[in-house]
Parts: sequence; structure tokens; C-alpha cells
Amino acid sequence: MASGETLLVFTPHMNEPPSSNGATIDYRNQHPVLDFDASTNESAVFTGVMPRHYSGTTGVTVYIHYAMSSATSGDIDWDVSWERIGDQQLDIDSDSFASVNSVDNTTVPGTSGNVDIVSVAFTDGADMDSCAVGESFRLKLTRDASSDSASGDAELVAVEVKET
Amino acid sequence: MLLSEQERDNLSQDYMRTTSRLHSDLGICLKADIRAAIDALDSYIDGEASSIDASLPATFRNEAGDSEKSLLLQMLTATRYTVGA
Repeated sequence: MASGETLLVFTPHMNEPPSSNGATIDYRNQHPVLDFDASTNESAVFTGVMPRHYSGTTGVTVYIHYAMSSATSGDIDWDVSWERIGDQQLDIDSDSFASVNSVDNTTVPGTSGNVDIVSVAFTDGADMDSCAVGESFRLKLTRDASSDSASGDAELVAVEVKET
Repeated sequence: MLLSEQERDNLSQDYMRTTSRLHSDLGICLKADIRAAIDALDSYIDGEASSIDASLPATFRNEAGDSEKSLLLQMLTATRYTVGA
């Protein structure tokens, strides 16, 4: 598979909310979305299996599709991190997410219902918790609400994982 | 008495959650603008509390408790905005 191809897509109903401060499901004109609070750093977690067609060399880019519930100005910050579950690699009784990569200070759309797409790149290896082809993993998205300025909820519409 | 910083923070969070649920139009307001509005309105109401109370007819002023007076103020304010007064 050539670089630039889509590896995985996650949608709101695939969320496995963390035990605390999880983003919550909502619907906007029948579109399922995950609401991320403006005051508390909330997260969504998605489980996947790294597709066999991933080259294992180029890394991946995570694309975050979101809209704002009401804000039409200000900026938004997102953090993304990987947790390799692997083949006898992780005891899933506890979490083991690698360090986050971020996309910060993105100006939100001027129309609250417009969906913006931002991206976070990960190099292959430790940056994505050394997740290998065929291994399961979790991807965690967090709105860094303590740092951004846009008011109200951010609504996650979809996440694409693409081979960089 | 002014609201505490924590109480103003909580109010700001509740306000944003409510306006998000309603998809309200807040123009270009940022989090900081909402918090500044809460600070200003709280200070104004705190400074005018005696005047507001004094404006009430004696019977209601003397017989109704603080929670009943604040409920009336809340409902009156909401009604005024609803009817565009």
C-alpha cells in the first residue's frame, strides 16, 4: 500500500469512553458527534488493529474532523496518543498511553456547524507506542480545554488514520 | 456578597454547557469573554442588591425570602428577553 492511503476510520459510536472525563455522545441534526467540554479536558478512546497494508516505516497521520457547538471564534487544541496492545505486550488491566502529540492554536470555523479537519503526525516507532502491523492498539483524543480559547463544546465527527 | 472565583468558574462552565446544548449564537465570544461578562454582571448585581430590594413593594420585600426574590428576578429577566422588552 502506498503512503497517503487511509488505514482506519473511527466514528463517534466507536468510542470507548475512559473511566473519567470522557467525551459524551450527542447528535447534531442526526449526525452522531462526541462532545468535548470547554472547561474540562475530556477524552475519547478508539480501539483498532493496525492494518496489514501499513508499511511500518512511514508513520501515520491522524486527521480529526470536528465542529464547534456554538463558537465561531477562538482556537482549539487537541492531543493524540497511542497505546500499543500488541501480542502479549500489554496487561490491559492498566493504561499505557505514550506521550501525546498535539495540534494547537487552530482557529475554529467561522460557522459553528462547519466541520474543520486538523491533523497530527506520528513517526513510526515510539512516537506511536511502537504499534506494529497486525497488532491491536488504542488511540486517545483529548481536547486540551485548559489551554484553548474557543467557548462551548467541540463536536468530534470522525477520525481518520492515514499512512503518512 | 460577590460570588467566589470557584463559583464564577462553575457558572461559566454551566453556561457554556447550556449554550452548547442549545447551539446558541455567542458571536465571537471566547471563554474569557464569557467569564468577563459573569464577573461584570455579578459585580453589578452585588452593587445594586440593595436598590433592587428597595424597589420591591413592602409586603413582598418583607415577606418573601432571598430565594423567592431571586426566583422572581430570574423569571422576570427571562420573560423580558423572551418578549423582547
